[in-house]
Amino acid sequence: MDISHARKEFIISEKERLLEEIPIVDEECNRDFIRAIIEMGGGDVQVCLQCGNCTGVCPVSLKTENKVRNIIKMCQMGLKERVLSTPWVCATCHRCYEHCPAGMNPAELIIALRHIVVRELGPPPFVVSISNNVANLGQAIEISDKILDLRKKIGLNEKPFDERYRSKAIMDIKTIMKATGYDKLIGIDLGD
Amino acid sequence: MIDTKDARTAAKYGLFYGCIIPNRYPGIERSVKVIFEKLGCNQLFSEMPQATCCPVPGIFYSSDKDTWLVLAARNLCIAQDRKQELVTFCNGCFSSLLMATEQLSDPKKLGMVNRILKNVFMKYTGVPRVTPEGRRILEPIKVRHFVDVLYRDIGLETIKSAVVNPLNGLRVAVHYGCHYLRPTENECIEDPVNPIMVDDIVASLGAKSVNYENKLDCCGAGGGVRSHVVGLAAAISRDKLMNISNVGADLIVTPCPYCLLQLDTVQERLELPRVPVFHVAQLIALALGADPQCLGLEAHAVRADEIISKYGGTK
Repeated sequence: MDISHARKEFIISEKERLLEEIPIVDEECNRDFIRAIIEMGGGDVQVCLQCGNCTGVCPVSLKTENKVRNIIKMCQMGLKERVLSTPWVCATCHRCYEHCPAGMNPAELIIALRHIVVRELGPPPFVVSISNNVANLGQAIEISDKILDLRKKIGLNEKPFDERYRSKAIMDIKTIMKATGYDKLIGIDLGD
Repeated sequence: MIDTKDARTAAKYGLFYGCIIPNRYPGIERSVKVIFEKLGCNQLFSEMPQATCCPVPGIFYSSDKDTWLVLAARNLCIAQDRKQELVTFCNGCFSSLLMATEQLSDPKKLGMVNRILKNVFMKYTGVPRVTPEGRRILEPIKVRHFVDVLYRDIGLETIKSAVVNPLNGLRVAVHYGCHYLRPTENECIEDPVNPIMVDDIVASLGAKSVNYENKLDCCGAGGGVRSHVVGLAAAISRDKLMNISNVGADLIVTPCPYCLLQLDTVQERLELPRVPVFHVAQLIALALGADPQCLGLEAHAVRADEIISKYGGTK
C-alpha cells in the first residue's frame, strides 16, 4: 500500500501539545466546572482514562491542535477558561464515543461545553444567523433566485413550501422559541 | 386552522425533505418524485408541507437541547397525526429526528415537551399499536432514511427491474457520512463499521462501487464545523477526496445532501481532480430513465456533463 501521501499529511498536521508542557496555576482550576458539565448532560469527565483513542479517530484532532484528550484533561482539572476558549470545531461524528473504553461520550461532552459557552460567553455569530433563519423562514438556509428558477425549470413548485402552511409553521416555531426562552438565550428578536 | 387530516393521510410515508434539498439541490427532490413514479409507488408517499427545519443539530442541539427537542417533536407530531412513517433524505435530519424519538421515551422530557407543544395545540404521544398479546402500547414515530425504505421496503429487485439506463462501467465512490452510521446509541439501520445498502443500490443500477481508503471517514462539514471554520472542513474533505481520486472514481454518491454540499462546493477551493457528487436519489433517477434535466445538476459546483452524455440517453 502506498502511504507516502498519508505520511505527508501527518507531518503537516498539528502535533499534540501536551498539557504537561503548559504551566498551570492553582487559581485557574475551577472544581465546580466538572459539576456544571454533568448538569449540561456532558457526563462525568473523571471517568476518562486519558488513553487517547478518541483523539486517534477524531477528524478534527488530526487537523488542529484541539485534541479531544487534552480538552477532556483540561475539564478534569477544571481549567474552565482554557476549555471555553477552544473553538467550536467538533463534527459530532461520534467516532470518539464508539472507541471510548471508559464509556464516555466525548461528542456529548463537547455539546455540553457549547451549552456553557452559549450561556456564559454568548453564541457564535453563525448560531444567531441560522437561528434567525429558522425562526423567520422555517428553514435553516435562504433560497437564492437561481434555485427558485431551477425549481421551476425542472418541474417543481417555485417556492419550496406552500405559503399557507408555512406561515402557521413559522408562528409555531416562534411560540416554541419564546416558551423555551431560546430567543433571549441567543439574542434574537421574534416580534410580538 | 389547517386541517391536517386531508387526503394525504392515506399514504404510508411522509416525505421530510429538510432544508438543503429544496433550497440548494432541488434536483434531489425532483429525482425522488421521478423514482416513485417510475416504480409505481407514488400513492405510498405524501408531502409534509407543515414540516420545518428538523432542527439542525449543529445549531440547536448544540445551544439548547430543550428547544431542539420541542422543535423536533413538532415535526414528529405531523407524522403522528397522519399515522405515517417519516422518511428523511438527509443524514442530519435522520439523526436529529431519530435521536428525538429516543429522548421522548423519557417521561420527564416528554412532559416538558408536551407542556410547550400545548401552546401550538400539539401533543406528542407516539402511535398506538396492539401487541400480539393484546396489550395496547404507544410506539415512537418511525423515523426512516430514504436508503432504508428503498432497500428494505421497496426492495432492490423492484429497482433493478425498472432500470432502463444501466450504468455499466461507471465507477462510483460511495460516501455514507457519519450520521447515517452513528451514534450507535440510536437504533442503527445497518452495521456501522461495514455498511452495504448504498453500495448494493449502486450495484443494482449496473455501476461498480469502488472501495477506497478510509471510506467511512467524515466529510468535515457536520456539527457546525463548516459554518464556523470553513478551512478546517475543507482540510478534512481534502483527505477524503484524495483517497477517492486515488482509486479513479468517476462519481461520488452519498445519501446526505449536507455531505454533498460540502464535497461538491469544496472542490472549487482544492487543486485536485474534479469528481462530481450525486445524491443517491439522483443516481437512481438517472438509471431509471429520468430526463437528465430533472436531476437539477446546474446547482452542483462540479459539472457531470460526461456522465450525463454517456448514461442520460433514454428519455
